[in-house]
Amino acid sequence: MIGRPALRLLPPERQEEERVAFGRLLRGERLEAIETTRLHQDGEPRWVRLSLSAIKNPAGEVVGLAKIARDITARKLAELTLREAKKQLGLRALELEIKVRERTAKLQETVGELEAFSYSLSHDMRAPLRAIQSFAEIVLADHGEQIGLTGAGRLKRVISAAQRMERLIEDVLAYSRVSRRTVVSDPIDVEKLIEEIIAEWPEFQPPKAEIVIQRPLLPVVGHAVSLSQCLTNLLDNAVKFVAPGVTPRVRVRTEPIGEQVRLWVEDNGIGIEPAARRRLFAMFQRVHSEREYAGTGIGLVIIRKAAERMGGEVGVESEPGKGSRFWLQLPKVLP
Amino acid sequence: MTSHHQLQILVAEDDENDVLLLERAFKEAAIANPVRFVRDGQEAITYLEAVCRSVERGEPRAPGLLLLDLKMPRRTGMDVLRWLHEQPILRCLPVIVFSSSANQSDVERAYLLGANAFVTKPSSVEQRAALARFIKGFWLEFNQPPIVSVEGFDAAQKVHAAQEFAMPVL
Repeated sequence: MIGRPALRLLPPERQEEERVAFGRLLRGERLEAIETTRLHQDGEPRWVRLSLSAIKNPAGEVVGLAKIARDITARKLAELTLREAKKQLGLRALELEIKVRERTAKLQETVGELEAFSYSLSHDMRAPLRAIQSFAEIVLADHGEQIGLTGAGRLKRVISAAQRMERLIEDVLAYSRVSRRTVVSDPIDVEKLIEEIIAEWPEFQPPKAEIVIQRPLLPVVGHAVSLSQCLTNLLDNAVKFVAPGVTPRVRVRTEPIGEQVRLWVEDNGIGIEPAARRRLFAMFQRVHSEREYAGTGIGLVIIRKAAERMGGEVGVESEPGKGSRFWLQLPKVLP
Repeated sequence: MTSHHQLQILVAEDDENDVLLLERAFKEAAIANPVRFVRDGQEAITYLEAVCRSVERGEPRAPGLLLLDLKMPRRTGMDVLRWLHEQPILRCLPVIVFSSSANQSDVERAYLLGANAFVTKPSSVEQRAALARFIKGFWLEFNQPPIVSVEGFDAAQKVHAAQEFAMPVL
């Protein structure tokens, strides 16, 4: 290269560049970190980073030019690749957004259908059920003697089957309400809420049950209606699943776990087999027959769904014969 | 407490079973008031319109209580409430809405449209009888009915005109 004009290193489309640069340098400007392209001595174009400055004699006259060129081709290529990747990413994001929008529309349609379904469930399916139960009761009351004991017994089965169906519809609707309703979370005084629930239901009071609150209960952040539903269902289970003749004894306590509060509902009930524990929180799953313990198998599903919607969790620890300890974990109140 | 034996009850209900069951409950609660059944919202409106025009000479008085089912063919219970709400005089009628379920938005809308009570239809004979006894005790005895239900449409119109009850802006 030595002894050849430096202009040879300029790509044809950049022939003017250096002249312009010289002009600026002569006017006293410093040109630093200029990124441009130059030709390598093998003739291949390269990205370079140029710094140019004028060399002056003690009198301040420009006597020469110093130029440092650093090959930044590798970095430039990486940058180009990155830019391309970013562009692709942007396209993907757009595609994704369109897809999300389509799915949301579809989902909204499904939600609408679901709402229509539960509305019809609560109206159209209840009407015949109401008639079945009521007319069976009327036949029993008006013609009970004529149909005899066997007939009356069968009619009673009709009535209790209709009542069970009614409870199922109730619970399915409660579940769909939990899934759909807007959940706004606020700090909740759990102790007060539990006291209110106990005061409301005679089943949770002596002599039917003894519920001990281990004070103070830590407050949580949640949706009051959903939490109240969870606690009522948990207490309901706690006092229901006891051996015949046993007075239900339930202890409610809270403990802090990281950023959350775990609320325990511990009972002296019959406990749960390990195999049954796994399907406990699934829809319509029942561990006991209707004859042993009445229920629809939806109560715990409602709790699970409500907990999820409040950003919490549920779980259980239990051994057969040693009672069950259900827990509900929700975000704690931050100071 | 005044007993309003003469007050007529209008029941708008399309479900035949519910009609039969309600009749039985009324009998069990010893409700002796005349009861008129209409089978949908349109029939209810037609009947009440006739009361306004005093066409049905035999019954110039409006019902003292309307038991209104929500889900009915042709015109729904909500339609009836909406219509009633626009009637200058009949909007005084006490209305108990009967529904198979207490859908929260139905409850709010019914009250906004002037319903006086919202009841979920009982499933058992026993609960239905209890409800009928309550209706008798409260709505047919303790509650004071509007003039249109006691003295009729013309009388109510005169009182309203004299006192210049303004039609509230909807």
